[in-house]
Amino acid sequence: MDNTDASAATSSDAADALNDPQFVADLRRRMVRFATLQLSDPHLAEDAVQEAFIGALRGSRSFAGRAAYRSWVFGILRHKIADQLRARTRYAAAPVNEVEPDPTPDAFFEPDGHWTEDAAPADWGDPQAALRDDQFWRVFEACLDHLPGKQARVFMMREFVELESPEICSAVGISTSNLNVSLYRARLRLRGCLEQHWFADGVVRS
Amino acid sequence: MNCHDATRTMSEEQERSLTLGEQMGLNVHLVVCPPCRSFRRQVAFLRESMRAYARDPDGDEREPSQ
Repeated sequence: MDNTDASAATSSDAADALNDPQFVADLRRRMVRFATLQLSDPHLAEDAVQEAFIGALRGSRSFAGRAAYRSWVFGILRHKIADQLRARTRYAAAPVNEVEPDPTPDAFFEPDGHWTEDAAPADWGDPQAALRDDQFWRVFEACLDHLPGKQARVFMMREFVELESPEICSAVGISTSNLNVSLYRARLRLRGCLEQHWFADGVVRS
Repeated sequence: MNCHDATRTMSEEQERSLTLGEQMGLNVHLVVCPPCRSFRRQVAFLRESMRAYARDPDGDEREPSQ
């Protein structure tokens, strides 16, 4: 160990974060919730979270602060989950081809397939600006939480864990077309929720 | 192609390359449908924001995008 002053200072930041029970408990709770949603198994989820924490301890990386530590450990968890899901594809049962009932598309479209007046997407202008706004991320998280279970699961697998479609189909045991329907509905809902709760103010209906 | 078909096609566009026929049908629809043009930009934004969220669930370290 030949720590320079600088690396000693940054690792003490990480140690400081880990010594704060409130910080660790909160981070742990969020990780378990995410892992459970992805793996559908509380024990495997606990194991993955535990391994992520251990992996973060082993990693000889310095952290600029708590947020950097949190990103790091969450990143390790994502990789653990992706590995678990990929391993599981080897034992996947035959596809069950079931899509959970969801009236969303019916509520958004007229019988002739055109948008209803209320559901028609507005112009969001420059949505990238929202990415810099802490309040936007709270709305974003709330909208994700409101997705129905299976939609949330496959959407997070696709967009958060960043698995490819065939991997998700094997892990969940659904056909590509069912996956596409679930992803489509999740996107419809999520964009509707974001528009209603964030982008609705100050946008011009197109 | 109506709005329902067009939005499904645009969602699948995030998963695979569209066939030439799908691209043509979609483009013909988008020319006359501003809400569906908004939808297309929003679906791309969803992917972008999910990736940003995945990199940092709390946003504390998120760099202002240029």
